Amino acid sequence: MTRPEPNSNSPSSNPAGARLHEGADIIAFRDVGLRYGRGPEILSDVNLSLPQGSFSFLTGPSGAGKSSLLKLCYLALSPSRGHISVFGQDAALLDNRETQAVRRRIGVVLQDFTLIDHLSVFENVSLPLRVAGQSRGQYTQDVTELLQWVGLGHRMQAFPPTLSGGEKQRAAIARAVIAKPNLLIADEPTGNVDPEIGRRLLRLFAEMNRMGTTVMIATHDIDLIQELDARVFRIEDGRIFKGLNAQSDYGEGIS
Amino acid sequence: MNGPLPSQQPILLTRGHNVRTLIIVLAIMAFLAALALLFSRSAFRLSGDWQAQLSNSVTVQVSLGPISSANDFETQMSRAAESVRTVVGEDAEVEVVNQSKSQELIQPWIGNLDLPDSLSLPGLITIQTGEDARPPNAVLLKSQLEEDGIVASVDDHSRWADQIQGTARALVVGGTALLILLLIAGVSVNLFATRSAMAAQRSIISVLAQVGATDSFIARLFVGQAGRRSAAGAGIGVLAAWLLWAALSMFSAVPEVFWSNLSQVINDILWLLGLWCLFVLVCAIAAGVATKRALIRERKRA
Repeated sequence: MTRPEPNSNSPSSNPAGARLHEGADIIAFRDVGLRYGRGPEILSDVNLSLPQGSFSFLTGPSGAGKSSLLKLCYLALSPSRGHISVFGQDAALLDNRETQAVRRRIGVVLQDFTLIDHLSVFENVSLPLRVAGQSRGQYTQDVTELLQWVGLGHRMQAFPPTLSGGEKQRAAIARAVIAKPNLLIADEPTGNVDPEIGRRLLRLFAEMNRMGTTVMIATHDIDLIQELDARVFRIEDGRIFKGLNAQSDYGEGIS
Repeated sequence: MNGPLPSQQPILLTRGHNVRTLIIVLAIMAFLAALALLFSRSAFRLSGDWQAQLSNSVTVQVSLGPISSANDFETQMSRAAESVRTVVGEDAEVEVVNQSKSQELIQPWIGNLDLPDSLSLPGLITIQTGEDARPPNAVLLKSQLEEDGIVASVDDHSRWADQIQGTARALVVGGTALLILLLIAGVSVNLFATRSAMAAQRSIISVLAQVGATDSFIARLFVGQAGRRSAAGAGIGVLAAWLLWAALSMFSAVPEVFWSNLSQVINDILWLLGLWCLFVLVCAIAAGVATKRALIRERKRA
């Protein structure tokens, strides 16, 4: 499959943000802390940056704060303290329209798939394009091609409740990448698929990355981490340990 | 690919056991609102007709002198009629009410009794002008009769006209108030329904926000849903009211209250269409406001 180029950083295709120069940070966290209500801090003093075009893994034990950190990345949560910059803009200063424009540049795959049950696989995957104002005629071919590529060509008209866990996962990934996002965030994207499909999905992420998309994947899967020579952020007790290397630091696996 | 793709599916859930109930509630409210509108229009129309009739007519009561024969009555009344004609001109219709008809007029109060000849009844003259002509001037008439030595009182029915106008105005105000109340009820129902729909479809809204849908995009979905729901409910209600009114126009014992000609039917259909549009519009606006406010509240919570 020939996947089209991801969004460029030209002003015309970048309604929410300024032009990013090569290697600039797509996302930057500065002393970020997060707490829910008056509870304890889930994340503390997080300093993190994702350079444009980078490929990173986020790993750590369950409950360490991986999902919360990802939610901060796609602006589903606001930090309790610190600053987050997305596509060169201070996230705290974005209004609703700008926030949503930023979100349209981010593809998200969540653990629970978040597919809409009464929409077919085709409709679910085309949702980001529909939201962006494209007509059915404009996106039908792209969606069809992508679904065939992820192995769901024969399930396009099926509804999520009838799909297996792996099929739902692939549909969620297809939805995340269909709009050719600048940043792709995935939370355990291969958790429900067999190794063969898992490798295929990882190849899709790698290809997206090769074309310029910045990718961040949260996973427990050491085999997946070892597949690529990528940066690894390890999160423990709400604090992040960065700069690890997938193959050198995780060659013998993590506990 | 398994054959051609079906047409685009609506993002929000369109079916549910509450939707049908909601449409029925909206239909009942629109039905009542349409009846209130038709009654108001009818009251307005009738009062206009009656006022026009009254304002174009004047009744003169002449105090007659001693009457010894039928000729005396005719002589005195002819004199009074001549005096009246000098004021109202030849275009107005001046009619002297004869004695037997005068007696018939008081029968509702005294019953079917043979009245003694000695009972003095006033002589009556009715003056009717055309619809486009100026109504007779009561003050001028009175002074002319006095000038001609005729003792008479002139009634231009203004007291009745005022009462009819007041009653009609009260009916129109009452009908309009009822209509506004029903619209407010419609708005409230839609606010409640939209909030419920948003709560029920929270996960869908969350997915839409995740893929970059703006508040306006999401609000448009709910506005469209409320608009379609209101259009169906109000359409059923307004149509039912129209059919009922048409049936009453054909079979009622007091047909003048309902439609009596085609222009009235067409006018009222236009008013009903306006009511339907207003109903759909306010319900859609209510849904839009409810959605926007809920989304802003949700964002503040995050």
